[in-house]
This record gives sequence, structure tokens and C-alpha cells, in this order.
Amino acid sequence: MNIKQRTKRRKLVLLIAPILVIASLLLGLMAGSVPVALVDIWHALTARGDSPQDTIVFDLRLPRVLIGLLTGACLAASGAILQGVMRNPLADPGVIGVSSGAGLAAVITMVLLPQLSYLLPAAAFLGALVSSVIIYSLSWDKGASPGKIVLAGIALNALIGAIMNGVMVMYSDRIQAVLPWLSGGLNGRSWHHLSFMLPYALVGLVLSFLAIKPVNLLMLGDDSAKLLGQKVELQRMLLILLASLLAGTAVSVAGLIGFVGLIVPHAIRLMIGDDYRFLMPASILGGAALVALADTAARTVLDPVELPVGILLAVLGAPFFLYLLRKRSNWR
Amino acid sequence: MTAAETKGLTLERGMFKLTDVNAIIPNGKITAIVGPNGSGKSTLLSLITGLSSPDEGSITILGKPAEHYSRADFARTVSMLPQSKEFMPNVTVRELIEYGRSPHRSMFSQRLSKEDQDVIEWAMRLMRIRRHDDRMFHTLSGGEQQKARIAMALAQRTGLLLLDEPTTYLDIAHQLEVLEALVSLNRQQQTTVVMVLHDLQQAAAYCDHMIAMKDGEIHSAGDPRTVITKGFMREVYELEAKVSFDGHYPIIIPVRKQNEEEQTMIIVTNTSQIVKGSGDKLVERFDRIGKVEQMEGFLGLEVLWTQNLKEYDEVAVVTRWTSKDAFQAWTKSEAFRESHKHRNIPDYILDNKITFQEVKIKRNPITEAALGETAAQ
Amino acid sequence: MRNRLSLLAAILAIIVISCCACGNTSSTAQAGSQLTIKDSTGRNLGFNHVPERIVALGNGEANIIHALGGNLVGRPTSELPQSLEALSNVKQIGTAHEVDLEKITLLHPDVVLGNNPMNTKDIPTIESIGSKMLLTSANSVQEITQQIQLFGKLLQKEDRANELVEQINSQLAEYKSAAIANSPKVLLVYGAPGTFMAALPSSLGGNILELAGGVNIAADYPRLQSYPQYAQLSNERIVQANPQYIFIMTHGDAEQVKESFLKEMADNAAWNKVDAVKLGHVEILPNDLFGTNPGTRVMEALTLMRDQLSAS
Repeated sequence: MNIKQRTKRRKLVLLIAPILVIASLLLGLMAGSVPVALVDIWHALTARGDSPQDTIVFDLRLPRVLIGLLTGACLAASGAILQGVMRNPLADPGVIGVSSGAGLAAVITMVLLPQLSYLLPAAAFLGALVSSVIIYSLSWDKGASPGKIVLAGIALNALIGAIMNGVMVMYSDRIQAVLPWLSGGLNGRSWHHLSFMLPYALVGLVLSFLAIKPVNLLMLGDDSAKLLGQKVELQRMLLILLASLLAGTAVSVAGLIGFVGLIVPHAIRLMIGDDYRFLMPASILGGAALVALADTAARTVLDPVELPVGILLAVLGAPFFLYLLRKRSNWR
Repeated sequence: MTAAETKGLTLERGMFKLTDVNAIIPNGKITAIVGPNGSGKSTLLSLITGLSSPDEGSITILGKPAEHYSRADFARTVSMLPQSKEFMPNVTVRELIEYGRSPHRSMFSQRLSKEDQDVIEWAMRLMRIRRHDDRMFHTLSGGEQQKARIAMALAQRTGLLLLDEPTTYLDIAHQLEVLEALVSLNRQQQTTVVMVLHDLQQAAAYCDHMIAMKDGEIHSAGDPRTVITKGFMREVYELEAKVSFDGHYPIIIPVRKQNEEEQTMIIVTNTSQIVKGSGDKLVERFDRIGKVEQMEGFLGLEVLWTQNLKEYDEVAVVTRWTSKDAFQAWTKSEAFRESHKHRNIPDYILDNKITFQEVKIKRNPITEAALGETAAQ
Repeated sequence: MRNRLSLLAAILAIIVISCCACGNTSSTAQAGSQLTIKDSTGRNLGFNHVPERIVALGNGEANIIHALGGNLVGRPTSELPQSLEALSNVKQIGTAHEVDLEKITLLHPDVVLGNNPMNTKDIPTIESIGSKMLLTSANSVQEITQQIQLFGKLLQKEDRANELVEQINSQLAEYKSAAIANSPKVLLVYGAPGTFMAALPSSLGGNILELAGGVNIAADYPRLQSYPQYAQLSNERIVQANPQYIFIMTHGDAEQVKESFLKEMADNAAWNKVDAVKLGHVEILPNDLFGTNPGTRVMEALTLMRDQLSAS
């Protein structure tokens, strides 16, 4: 790719991405298992009453689409940050233990402590943060190099995964309750879930923009970044914390949605290059649109049954990513 | 005021070792650091720039201790081109050089100021890569990439620029381009330049001050003409060479040396305790040991007779061989077996012990000619 | 040398052949058996005598055997409801999903009662310890009555079995004849409001609901006919269907869990507009009667459901 192509593509991506986000918002409001006429949708949004249509549009679809947008934005931002910090385009939030920590906390809550199930988002969020802190500390040795973080992550993820599976096997008659959450989905998410995640998501996304410059410099290598005046170890720690905050927020409400954190930033990178001044906003918008659209599809395709959105994302996304990889492979 | 000074710098990290290094980098001049591989040149640079910390010792930059600089301030004072080529992101040449401006830009600035733009242009022109400014970095040749990386360090606009082997992987044309550019930089901006170079001749030709290192210590420092001598070549590079100067340019012609294999030596010591006064009997016996001088790999034989011990005499027979196999070949030979034919141990031998020792030796015979020349120095 | 080899080969051959013969003896035993029972997988099991030592892998099966007066020597590991306290001395043999083969072997059972399809994989292992595996399923009340009759035949206690089935059938007839006013619409779920699965008519819970006179909102969708017992139902459909009752099956302590679920539902705008939540008709169903096979206690389950539906 030469600079002309890249500039053209950057303009295109940054033009289309916001449009996609708005389109996915509108589509999410209009589509659903229960058909609602456009005029009723308008009515629900402007002069809300108590009819089932109003409830469906205002209390089900609207918060759900918004949660989908935020979830996708947070996951994509988290993945983008991690890929930069680890200098590895194949990094994703799972590497720092967010998914496994949240999963374990959720399994324990739902299987062993169902009387605390209303605390599920908080438990998952805490689990995500704690496990990434543990992984970071395990890899610390006067500094935490990306290689050590990955290794510590592999070890802890394996351990947590084993514990989780152990609990599920020992209480195998109870796992019906857990499976939907583990596959990632937004069924039944509403305003109170949105209000739980909104503050963390907003803070995280704003901080993601501040992270652009440090990540760009970290990508040059630890030595080069230090020589340019960056406090490398401090930045790396803060960035990983930010990434786990973002991913933890997303996972606490939406369950284990994988794939977005890895694929979206990587696909955008293949299209417009490594500069985070463009990569970050594009990933955030792209991730938001992707999850919102996927969720809309997941809840309409098999009406009245809902498909977990994590599964749909994987099934559709993997082939698309492979295609993208092949097309762009000659340019590196 | 010197550009940089180190006092008593000591570091030990596995392979890398520096011992009590007191280096002085003169301000406003070009300094070259030379020495064989593993002598600590890169380590010294990384200590000066703060990429690693010493076990002992202090570093002063422009009269101020290095610790007193904030990270950002330091980046505006000292810049370096590291040796290793780390992960290069997918950016254009201009964008790469832009990164060099980051110590001068605030965290929130999105656009480059006029000053930033000017500096970037200047850096590109100095390194003669202006025409590549919009090309993707990874599409450049090795030489052009190196120039671009130097331009990124230049964009930091520091008073002190360090370069670790800037010319090592370049062809001669690019090497000279880079060196000329550094000289221009020094003349125009009075930037202090420190570079680690392998090519002694280039180093001497282009620098004002030379520091030579060996085995983690500074061997000598000063004007290249006083530093590079025959003795210097021998001591630092362990090379025999003829040294002369054509103006500033040294001419170093190495003397081809024979292929020297590193050899080991096995010392076999046979120690016997003998009834007092009867030591000579054993010595006599060994005098008769057959034909050892004809064995392959035989390096010598000594007999040591200690008589001043109270209870017994001690006789040690030391034979030296090139390998253990050579020794064992001797013990299996006809001559040896014959001389030990009578199996019973003579009664005057109280005790007997054999030890083996392997010694790594390197032989550098001091020749007459070399002796003569050293005297003449 | 050659003679030795051929002798060795002959010995090996004899050993291999006799092992094959051993393997076959168990299947030929049926020919001479007194009692032949066909289980729900269609397998025919032959017994030389009425089974005297019975191991049940599920609570429902344990309950039925006890009600029929059979000799239960092994039951699944779980808490016993009050009515089955007499069984507290019976050895526990692991959960239904992970049977403890060693304990079962020690008990020398004549027959092991398992679930189809969950214990299908365990058939070879049970047969290898010299017992027989009888598989049945209980996804509806009718299947439970079939279980009762099958076990009755097994224990040669058919009269008692018929008695029990009669009780159930008469209860069902009673409910059928007196339909509940307003055919209450019910959502039956397993799990928490945040992550739940709706129980379809094809599940035991769904069947009990239907027979007790309730209307499962999941029954409206022809597509769901082909689904197994639980599915994740779209919230929009739930709001549209507006159930009057929500019954929740869960594994925790009913009282503790109820508080948490109610809180969650009240907070959740996706749920709190639904009639059931607004009117406070959200109930937790006891796990030993719903969700798992309650055996003959299915009558209690029916009664409880009926009472809930008639309450308002």
C-alpha cells in the first residue's frame, strides 16, 4: 500500500464508520422479533406510553442497541490498545485474563450463589480486573515485558479455565443457567445494565483517546520509546489497566463475547495502517457497529429463539477475516 | 564543560561487564568509541542514555547528574540511534521522523507546529532522504532506512547525539554519506556526536576524539593519532599490524598470522610415597621407562623428588600430553608394558596416586623480532 | 525354535478365542430368562429373577422404586426431600452425570436405572460389572407413568404400579374437567432473569404446567416444536405475550433466591412492565419437584402448580 492508497482508505473508513454506527442504531430499533411499525417506533421514542410496543422499543430495543454499541466500542478499544502495547497484532483481551476472570466469577455466582445473581455484572467486572492484575503482577520483574505477560496469561487462563470447568462438571445439573452467559448475549439487557456500564465505558473510551500517543510510541520498541522520553513501564501498566477496564466493562454486561477485540482492530489495521490516531477511532466505531448489528441479527434470525451474539460473531467474522487477510497479505 | 562524563561506572549483567569506566565526552566534538566485540561499547552508550542502570558509578550530562533530568528533559538533551532494529510500524518516512518530535510536543497536541515541520524538513535534508518522505518505511533499502532512523533521532534536536554502530550494515557509499552528514551536523549545530564504529580507519578519519575499550575497561582515549599505534593494535585487538598516517587518515595493515589452533594439554602426575632414602630407586626406574619420547602427542616429562618430608620421600613423575588418548596409547604400548612386566609393586613404594589435569593453553611465542620492536616503541 | 513358536501361537490363539467366548455369554443368557423388559431405547433386557438389588441413578427412579416397595441399594447423591427420609441409609453412588462406578460395583446390583439419553454412554461399563442398565426418560407426566408401569413390571408389582398410575390419572382428569378461569398465561424459566432459558412444552416442567391448566407462552410458536426442552426466548416475544405468571426453576434455596430474582426483575425495564411482575405473580418452584424427575411426587408438583395458578 502506498501513501495515496492509504490516505484514500483512511478517508473512506473514517467517513463510513460513523454512518455505520448510526445505521446500526436505527436498524436495531426497527428490527426485532415482534414487528413494530415505524410510526409506533417514533411514538415510543417521543411520547412514550405503556403499550407493549412502547415497552418493546423503549425498554428493550433502545437500551439493548446502546449496550451493544458500547460493548463493541469497549472491546475494540481494548483490543487495539493491547495489540499496540504487546506489539503483537494478534493480541486480544483474553490474553490478559479478562474473559477467564469474568467467566469464573460469573460461574461461581450463578452456580453456587444464585441468591446474589443481581450482583452478576459487578462480580464479573471484578473478576475481570482481578485476574488481569494478577497476570500483570506475575509477569513483573523490574518491568513487565510483553513476552512475560503472555506467558503469565497463558498459565493463569489455564488455571482459571480448569477451575471453571471443574465447577461446571461438579454441578453439571446447574449449568443450564450459565451457558447463555458464557456464549455472550444481550438478551434481557435493559436500562439498569446500561447505567451500570455507562460510567466505566465513557471513562474508558475517553482515556483511549489519550492513549493514542503513548501507544504509537510504544510500538517503536521499548528502547526507542524510552529514548523519546516515554516512561515505558508506567505507561505499559496503565495501558493494560485501561484495556482490562474496557474489556471488563463489556464482558460484565454482555457475557463472554470474544473475537471483537482481536478482529476489529486487526482488520482496520490491515486497511489503514498502524497509526493509532486513525486506528483507535476507527476501531471504536467499527466495533460498536459490528456488535450492534450482530446482536440485531442474532435476535431476529431464529425468531422466537435468540442466538447468543458471541456465536454469531464468530461464525460470520472468521471467514470474513480470512478473506481480508488473503487480499491484503501482499502488501506487508 | 564536557558533554558527558562517567565516573567509576561498573556493571555486570551476565555477558556484559564494565569495570570502573571513567569516560569523558568532549563537548561539541565528534567522538568515536572503538574496540573489539564484547568490549562494552554498546553497554557504555546504553548506560549514558539511561536505558540501563549501573551497579556503581555516576553519569553526568552537561554538568548535571543524569538522575536530575526528567525523562522528557533528558529526551530533549540526549538522543540515540540504537543498534537493534526493533519492530518498525507501518508508517511513512515522514511519519517516522515525526515521532522524533514527541519530546517537544505536549500529550494533547494533534497537529504539528511550524517549528516541528521545519525541524523534520531539516532532518530529512541533512540525511538526504527528502525525496523519500512519503514512501512507506519498509519499502526502503537498508541504507535508506538507517538514514531515516538517524533523521528521527536528529528531529529530537538534542545537543548530544549517540549512535551505536550507525554504519555497520551499510555499503561504503551509504557509510560515507552518513558520516559526512554527521560531520555537517557537528559543524553547523555544534552537536556533540558520539558513535560506536567498527571501522578503525573511518573512525579515526571522522572523529576528533577517540575512546578505545577492551574487556569492559577504557584502554586509551585522545586524539586518534596518538591512540592508534602498533602497541594499541596488539593490546586491544591482539593483532600484529603496521600503523602509519596519511594526514588524518590512518593506514593500518595487519600482518597475516598463522592459523593458531587453541590447544589443550593433559598433565598426568604419578605421585608415589617412597620409604625414606629410597627415592633414587624409583627415579632410576623411571629413567629406564621406554621410548616415551617417541609417542605421538608427548609434550614433555619431569621427575620431581621431594626429600624433606619427615616420614617418606615423595617422587612425582609428570608427563604432559596433547590429549588423554595419547597418554593411554603410551600405557598400552609395548615399551611401557615391558618396563612394568614384573607385576608386584616394589617394597620401597608405600603409596601411589595418579592424577589427570586438563589445561587450556594458548601459545603466543614471543619472537625475537617482536621483542626487538617492543623495545623500540 | 520353530516348535516353541508354534506352541506359543497356539496358546495365544486359545486365549483369544476363549476371551471372545466369554464376551458372548452375557448376551446369550437372555434366551433362558424368566423376565424380559424393553426399555425406552428399545433394548430388550432379560432377567432370571425379579431384581432384588436395584441402583437408581436419578431421584425420580429412586422414588418410584421406593413407592413400589422394591429394594433400593443405591441412590444418587443429593439432598433427600422429607418424604424420602427412609432412603437416607441407602448408599449414595454419585450424581446422575458422573456415576461412581466403584460404589455401584460394590453394591452388586441386579439392575441399574438410568436416564435416556444421559446414561446411554454408561451401558457398556454397567454391563462390564455384570449388571444391566435400564434406560428411561421423564420429559412429561406420561413418560413418568410409563416409567412407573415399566418398573412395576420389572418388580412384578404391577398392581401397585397401576394403583399409582390411577392416582395420577385421576388427578389429571380432575384438572382437565375444571379448567382454570382465564386460562392463565405463564412463562416458565430456568435460571436468573439476567440469563435464563424458557422451558418449552416438551420439557417436564412445561408438561406439568399444561396439565395443571396453565398456558405456556412458549407454546405459541410452531418453530419451537422441534427444539429440545429449553430455549432462549426473545424478550420482545415475552413482552408481547405478557404472561400473568412467571415461574422460575432454579437450584438455589427458593426463599433466598426469590428475593434476588424479584429485585432483578423489578430493576429490569425489560421485565417490569409485564403483568406477572406488576402483579407480583413471580414464584420460585422447588427444584426437587420441577426440573428433575420427581417420580411419583409428580402428583405434588401438579398440585402445587394448580394451586399457584388458582391463587389469584
